[in-house]
Amino acid sequence: MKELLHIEHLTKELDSFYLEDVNLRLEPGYVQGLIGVNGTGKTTLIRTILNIYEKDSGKVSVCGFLMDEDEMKAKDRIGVVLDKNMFEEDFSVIKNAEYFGKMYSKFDMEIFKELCRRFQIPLQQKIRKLSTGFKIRFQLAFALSHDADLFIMDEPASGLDPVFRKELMGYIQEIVEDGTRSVLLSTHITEDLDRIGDYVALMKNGRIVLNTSVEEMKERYLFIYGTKEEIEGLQVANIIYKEYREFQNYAFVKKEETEDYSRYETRRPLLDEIMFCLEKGGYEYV
Amino acid sequence: MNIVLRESDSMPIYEQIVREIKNAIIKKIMLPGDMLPSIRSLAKDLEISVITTKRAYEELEKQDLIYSMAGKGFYVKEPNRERLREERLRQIEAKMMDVIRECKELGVPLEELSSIWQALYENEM
Repeated sequence: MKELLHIEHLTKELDSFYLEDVNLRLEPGYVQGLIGVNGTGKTTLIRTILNIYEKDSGKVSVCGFLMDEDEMKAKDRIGVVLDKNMFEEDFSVIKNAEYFGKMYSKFDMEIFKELCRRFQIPLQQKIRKLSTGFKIRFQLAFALSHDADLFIMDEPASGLDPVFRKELMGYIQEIVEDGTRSVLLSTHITEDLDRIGDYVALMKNGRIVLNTSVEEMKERYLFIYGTKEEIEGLQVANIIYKEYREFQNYAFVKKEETEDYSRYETRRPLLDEIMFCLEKGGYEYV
Repeated sequence: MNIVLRESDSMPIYEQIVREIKNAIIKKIMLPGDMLPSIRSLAKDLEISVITTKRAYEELEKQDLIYSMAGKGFYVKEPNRERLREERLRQIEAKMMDVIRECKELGVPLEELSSIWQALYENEM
């Protein structure tokens, strides 16, 4: 199957920060999440993919077009929803669409207007005057109007009210529904990915330390509950983190296939719990 | 068919889908030969990931409840009712084990438990 995004050995040094040997492939039809605590390089990665930051080495290709050789053709296929939007703040919505639409081979003004109606975006409003939620809506409408294949979204849900956040997740699912388009989505709100995410890449210190399906990620680890003494004396492999409280004690472990956990009280973790326990306990057994 | 997923359920989402579709087949809401929704449209509808839905369908296929026709979709198979019944009996036994454990904890003797069970069973009829 043709890959929509292929990142190979990407590195980027940026002041005190760096991306190191980032590899990622995304096939059509999936939602790929990008998670990690603050300052692990999610936004830097997205900006480097988009050539907003120049990479030091490595390759990025979009729909088969190398960013270094065919940047225009590659970008033609990418729809972006960024934290800091790239549009002309002092132009109206419609003027931005006219102006930036010319840069995309398949931009369709009728579709854009239709989407603005659907998202209730006022066409004559200046971008500057739009609220956070409406800036996101506008970017999404624009990306959908130029028939992008790869949607790259940096924290799109962070400033949204719960109603539009839920709607946005619906739009993301609509994008991937026919199996030809994909979404790369960085987010702090991991509960969105718990449900609609197909794959998730976990970043730490400028690297992707784990990239797998959300299903596999949640089966990879386990919470084991018990009394303080039981948890202290727990004899299982790959214990990542333990927490002792007055009324609840648990160990967070990476599962071992040969181990039988049925004698313990256990629970599958959610993505934010995986992030928390790895951050607290260390990434040795990631 | 109506599929209800519960976030609070300790059962993983894909297993919940398996359970719901299996129940629909047992209750004959879905009949042999009926077409299942496509993986992608079901995922969209239930607001869950494509991979989770795929996994549920693979599991149903493995349990011999549905089959796929390349390029067309998934269909309900003629269920092995004997096997489904066996399986449900095992689930009932597991639930009864929970009750028995609780009775032992509380010191309820077998005779009392049996009479409760009998009374409830007859009441339900």
